[in-house]
Amino acid sequence: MIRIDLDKAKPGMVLAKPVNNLQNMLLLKERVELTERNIQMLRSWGVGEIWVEGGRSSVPSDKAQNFDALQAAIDRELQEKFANVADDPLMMEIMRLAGKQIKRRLQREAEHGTPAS
Amino acid sequence: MVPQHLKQVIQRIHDLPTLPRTILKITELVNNPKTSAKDLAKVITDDQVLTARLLKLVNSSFYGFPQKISTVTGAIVLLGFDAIRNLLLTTSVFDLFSNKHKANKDLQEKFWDHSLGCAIGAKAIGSFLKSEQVEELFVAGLLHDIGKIVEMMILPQEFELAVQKTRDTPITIYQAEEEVLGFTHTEVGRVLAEKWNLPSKLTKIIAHHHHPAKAGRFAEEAAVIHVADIFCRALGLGSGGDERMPPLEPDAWSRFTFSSAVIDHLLQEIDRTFYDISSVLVATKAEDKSVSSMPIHG
Repeated sequence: MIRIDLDKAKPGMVLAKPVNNLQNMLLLKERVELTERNIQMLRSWGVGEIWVEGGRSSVPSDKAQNFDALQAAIDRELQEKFANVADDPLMMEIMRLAGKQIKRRLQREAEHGTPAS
Repeated sequence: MVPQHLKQVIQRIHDLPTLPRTILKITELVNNPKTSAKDLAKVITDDQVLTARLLKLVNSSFYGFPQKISTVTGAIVLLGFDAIRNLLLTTSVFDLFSNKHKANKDLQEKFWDHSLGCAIGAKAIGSFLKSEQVEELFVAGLLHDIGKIVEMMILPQEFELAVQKTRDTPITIYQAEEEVLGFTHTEVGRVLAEKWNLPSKLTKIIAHHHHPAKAGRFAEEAAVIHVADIFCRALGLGSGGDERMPPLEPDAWSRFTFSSAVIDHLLQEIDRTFYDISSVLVATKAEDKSVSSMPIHG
């Protein structure tokens, strides 16, 4: 399952989790199929994000672009963090591998909704 | 701002809360080879909150036991004394220092994440090296930076100044503490460890985790913590106060010389374990509130 912004929701998608409003009132149960009408209803309640069934293939392409931006941000942050040890090849290797793991974690979070396994 | 002398800090450390008596009792029992599982279970079950927390943790997905563990004795037999002590010490230490100084609550939370990350890292490295003291390494990792929490509590402004220095100049928190306070978290940590009567191995590790060679016969353990500290900082698990990598001591690394494949494996394991246990710890804390209605299991 994945979390998406409500404005990326499309009819035919199926809710993976129930949707509540800000007062925690149930609006739609899980496994409900989205329609134009109930999407509009959620919008009127100010719902921002929902969880729908499906893996990365159902992620709209602009979300994938955000992922690339995220990866670039991770690399930048790591470089800053390791700036004072940049002359140590071993630390640079640790930096590279840490970057790899952080990206794996974010991917898992995007796919399963949690960084935990 | 005049840096306070370490002696004054030491005096004020005596005002700090001690570990809960139950935890001190448990540590004592675990250190005694004559203690039975029954003895240990009795002390734990006298404390309802601790009992509930322990059972919740051992039944969590973090341990992944196939069957539900419903007694403290069962948990002790399954996990062993050291693991039980570590679990309870972890949650108690977290409790002790949480909710103080709401002003830097954010920094405190990030600090605990870093400590937990280092603990997990130390255990992972220890397991990889087939060490016989993985649980002790876990505790050492958890407490290695405890001096910083003391500084946050006793000298909040000075500590904040040191943290700010690491943002303004390319120095580590260790160097900034030396400049601002005249001493570092390693010395403060050592004093606290002595106050808590922790074993000398732990005290030495806390005192020398930045320069492991100085830990004498515990240099290897200190080196494990040193490397674990670096790994968990690289992964961004919490914060040690500064957002910089401390230098990797060549002496420490030369004890292990992990290949890239091994580093990769360790980083993966540490990262995944951290996120698995974090979610359990958060859930456990939330459930403590409903403990009073739970029957005590012996």
